[in-house]
Amino acid sequence: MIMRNEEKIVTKLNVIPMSKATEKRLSKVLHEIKGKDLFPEKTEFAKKTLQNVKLPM
Amino acid sequence: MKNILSLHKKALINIENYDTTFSIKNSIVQYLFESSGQKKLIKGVQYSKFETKSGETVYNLGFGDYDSETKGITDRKSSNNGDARKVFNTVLNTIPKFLKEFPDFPIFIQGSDSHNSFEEECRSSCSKNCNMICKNKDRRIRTYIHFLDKKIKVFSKDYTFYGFDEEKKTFVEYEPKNKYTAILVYKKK
Repeated sequence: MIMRNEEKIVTKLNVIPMSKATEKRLSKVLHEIKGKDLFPEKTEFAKKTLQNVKLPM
Repeated sequence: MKNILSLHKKALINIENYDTTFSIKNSIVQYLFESSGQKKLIKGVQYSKFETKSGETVYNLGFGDYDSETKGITDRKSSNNGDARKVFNTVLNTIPKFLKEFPDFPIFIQGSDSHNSFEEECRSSCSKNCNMICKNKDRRIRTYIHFLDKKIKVFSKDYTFYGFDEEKKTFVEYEPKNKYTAILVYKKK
């Protein structure tokens, strides 16, 4: 008799819902930042890192 | 004829994460959520589009806390709000959401503390007195790798990951527990 272990991974995604008050706060912040590049230095850093690198795909 | 007895083990991965808002303008994709740890903090994840020198389009992932004074998001501080697991699950869960909308472009993830000049800047104000190696350098990408490694089996079904090998200056196939200074993610076709 051969015993084979088979592991099945079950992922349960629990999304913590947002309250009306949170929704309101986020909407206010969204109004301030929408379309604004929040991390220009990071984007420049990424460009620099990848400047002489060939992407794998 | 051999008898095969299959033992089915069920591993349950419970991913708890915050609900997010979604917005897109000027090729900038933003997700906002509220972290409810010790305090209520607004956090933002941004995917910004750029082109490499060879003309390839990449989206760079940025993540940080909302600062009501500057009315922006900063990744300079660590808020230590007591809910890091939920926060990083939320950040990582924006990857499938983003790639569902933009399946043709890879995501580039790199910590702002992986910059060459970071160590010098850190030593000038840090109280940790690190000897040879600055413990804060590459801390952010190590955190991403830590949380990603836990879910790599689940994520690998639909996405391909590459790690950036700093010494070889090239991307290599992602292997959990290896050291990388950046990560590249593609949606599988």
